[in-house]
Amino acid sequence: MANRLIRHDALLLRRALGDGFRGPADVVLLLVMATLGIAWLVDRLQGAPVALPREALWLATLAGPAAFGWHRAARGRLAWLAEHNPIAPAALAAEDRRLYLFIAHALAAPFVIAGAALLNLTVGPPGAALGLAVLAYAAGLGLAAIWPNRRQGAGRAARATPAGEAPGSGRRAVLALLLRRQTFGPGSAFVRAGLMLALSFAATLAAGLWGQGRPEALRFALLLLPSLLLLLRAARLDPALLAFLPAAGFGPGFIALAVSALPVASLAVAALAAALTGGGAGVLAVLALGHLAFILVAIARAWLYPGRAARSVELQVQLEFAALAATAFLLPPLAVIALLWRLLQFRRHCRDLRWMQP
Amino acid sequence: MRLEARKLSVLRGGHVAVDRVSFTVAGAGWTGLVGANGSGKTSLLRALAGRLEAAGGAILIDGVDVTGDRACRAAAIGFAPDAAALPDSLSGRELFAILDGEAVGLDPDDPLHPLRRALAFDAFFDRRIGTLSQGMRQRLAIFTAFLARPRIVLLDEPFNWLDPISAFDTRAALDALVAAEGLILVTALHDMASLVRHCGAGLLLADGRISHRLGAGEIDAGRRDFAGFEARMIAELRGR
Repeated sequence: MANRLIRHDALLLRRALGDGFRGPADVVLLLVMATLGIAWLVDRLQGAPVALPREALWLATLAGPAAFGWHRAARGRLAWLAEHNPIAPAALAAEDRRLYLFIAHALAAPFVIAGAALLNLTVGPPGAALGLAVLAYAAGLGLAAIWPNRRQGAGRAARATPAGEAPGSGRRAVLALLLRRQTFGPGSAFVRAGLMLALSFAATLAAGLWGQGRPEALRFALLLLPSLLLLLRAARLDPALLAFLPAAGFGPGFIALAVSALPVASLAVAALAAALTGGGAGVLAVLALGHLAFILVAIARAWLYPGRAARSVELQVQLEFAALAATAFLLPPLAVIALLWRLLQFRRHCRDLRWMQP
Repeated sequence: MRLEARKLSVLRGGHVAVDRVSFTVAGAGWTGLVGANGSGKTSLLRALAGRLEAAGGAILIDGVDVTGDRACRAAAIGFAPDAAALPDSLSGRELFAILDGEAVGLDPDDPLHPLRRALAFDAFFDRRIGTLSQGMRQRLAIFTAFLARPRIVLLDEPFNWLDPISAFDTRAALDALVAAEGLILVTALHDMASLVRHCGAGLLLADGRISHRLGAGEIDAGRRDFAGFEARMIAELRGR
């Protein structure tokens, strides 16, 4: 393959997948989960009451924004390679760029078409969703192609992150550095975390009081919203710092506790506020399960970052948790076993790199 | 070969990082670019090498205006990327293979052989870049600028993170390439000692503009009285 861009990114993708599913056991696990997921999907589709209303055809038009976003992402990748990577000359060459974009769409389009074909199984007339998806994809691609690029360097200056106060030393310093990334606002990382938790508590309390007597679904959503917003912010982990921790002697146990601190506190304040306003067992269960899922994902990411490219870790964790969710629908006990098994493997990866200096 | 910037301006993050800079580098030689952090050295080098757009002015290679052709500049000019931007999950060998440069400098008769030997990356060529120290990554990054055997090479603070032996050997290898192969070399530098010992000309950059041009005579004088030269240059950089 002559195109350096394709060779470069194909190798990166292959490596990311290879890192994620290194041993035969990983591949077997993934295959089992994928098979179960497909079996579940087929089972649902073959049942009688899955036919979607005709209006669902409009779902196929989502192919338009998907094509637009994908094209912009591919062009963004080319722009990054052109500025920072040794293959910059290829990333700037018109012919190489065209081939790169063509292959990017050749990889994405089949997924869109498969999605549209699946939609066609549940909503008629035959071929309508497929046709709509193809037209929408072409329109999205056309729009993205003529959409002007932002002039390089003309954007808003990136705001420098203030260094802030010295975070102390040892474990306290690590926690402060992690919290600094997971929180925003004035003051030290601990003060910021405290303020965010207090805000989440107050918002959940207010939502619970305001929602009394209103539709259950609305009250449910309002009670969950503050925690969701806090967790979205708490998802901002620092891959470089977490990758460094084992080399500095921190064990997987401490790393897991450090990345769990904020979501555990979030669960405590949200559950307290929900309980005080008469939130039922359902709300508490959803809060607990949501936070637990978040914490497990965070721990998996934190244990995998050492010695790995952050992007490949994100890809692996997303794929594995998607497969796990599909398995959980069909065979919950298997999902629990698979989850524990994978977490043990990730922990071993992190533990083995302790004190290992690059 | 000749590289020329005419009233070149470069934007970074909405502000002018390089402000109407003009200079010419003609024929073999090593030019040092000195300035404080944020003075515009990196933006200037990246724009010359096609890694950034020029917001104004002109860039000429051998008299041909290539301002609007970043691909041409990137192909003609070797440029070492930021070592931190090298792909973590590839080994140096894999990266060089993609760049068709795995064997560049291996042959003892190859003009790049001394540089490859000085950078000594063969010892960790098969290790993943993500597992390398910053100095090891820097050695790989420097050599990527030479893989296509360009006649013009721009390096941004190349001796950062190198150990004293590597830095010494690399400077000597670069000197030899300039002298024997007619290389035009422009490097951003943070140490005055490298400037006076290895460069034939220099540019001091402050707030995106050239504040002082150093000719061969002034650099020669600097070799004779390094302490005085360094004090003058620091005062110049401080804006006094």
